[in-house]
Amino acid sequence: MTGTPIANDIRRLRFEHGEMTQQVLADACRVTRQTIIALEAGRYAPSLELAFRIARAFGVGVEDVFRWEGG
Amino acid sequence: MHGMDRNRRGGWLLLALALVAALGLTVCALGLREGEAHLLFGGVVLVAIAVAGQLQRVAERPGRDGGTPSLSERASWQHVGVGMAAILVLGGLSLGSMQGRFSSWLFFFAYVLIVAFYPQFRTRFIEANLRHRDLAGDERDHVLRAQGDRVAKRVLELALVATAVAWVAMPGLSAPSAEPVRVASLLLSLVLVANVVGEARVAWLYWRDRQ
Repeated sequence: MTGTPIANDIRRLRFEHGEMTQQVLADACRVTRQTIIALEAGRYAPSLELAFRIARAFGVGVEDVFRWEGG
Repeated sequence: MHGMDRNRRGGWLLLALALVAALGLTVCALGLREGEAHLLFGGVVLVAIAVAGQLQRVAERPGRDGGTPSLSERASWQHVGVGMAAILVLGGLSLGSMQGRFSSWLFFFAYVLIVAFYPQFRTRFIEANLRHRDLAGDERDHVLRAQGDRVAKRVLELALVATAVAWVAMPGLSAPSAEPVRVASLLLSLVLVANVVGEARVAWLYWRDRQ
């Protein structure tokens, strides 16, 4: 699960949202904190459903959180 | 205070693992001297259990991001250990340990339950350890488990093919092991080996994601 072509700005968005902790985001998205860590490290590409949940937790669109960086 | 307790626990665990490894090496030496395959096998598995235990200790340290292992990751390690302990007994039975004794059947049927209810044991472990705000599993857990299951399936296929080929190609080797409990134990051992390899793969994927 290394080298996913989907990059994200989860860490930046967390800090822009009152320094939201990984655990709070994980609870909001109904995943484990370890999954948020893996996402931030770019080691896991989320399902479409989880991508929407994360974007919704920040009140932004999916494209504001995730972007395609593959060839 | 908690740190000291943890260090003391870690020290005792390390000592226990060293004793298991020493016991394994002694049994190996005994097996070689006596020419007993089941003793040699038992010794090798004991050493492997000690090595797996030490790997688990190292792998469960917090990762680069301070990420501690999830319950699913810990469950995978737990099941590697349980699976290896079961392989120790069933593999030994298939190689002639306790041959002809009632206890061989007793052990066999006890371990049938472990093999049959393997996924349920895993779920039970996770549920028993759930704490406030912990999740029993999420989509990433399912993805990682699917990778482990794929590896386990492949290992089981290869192990069955290798056993079938050995059975046909070397009748001299298979003839003495035709006792029903030995054949049945061999088949269950193969399932357990596949499960342990699959769980080890899952544990490794979890660990890699936390680095």
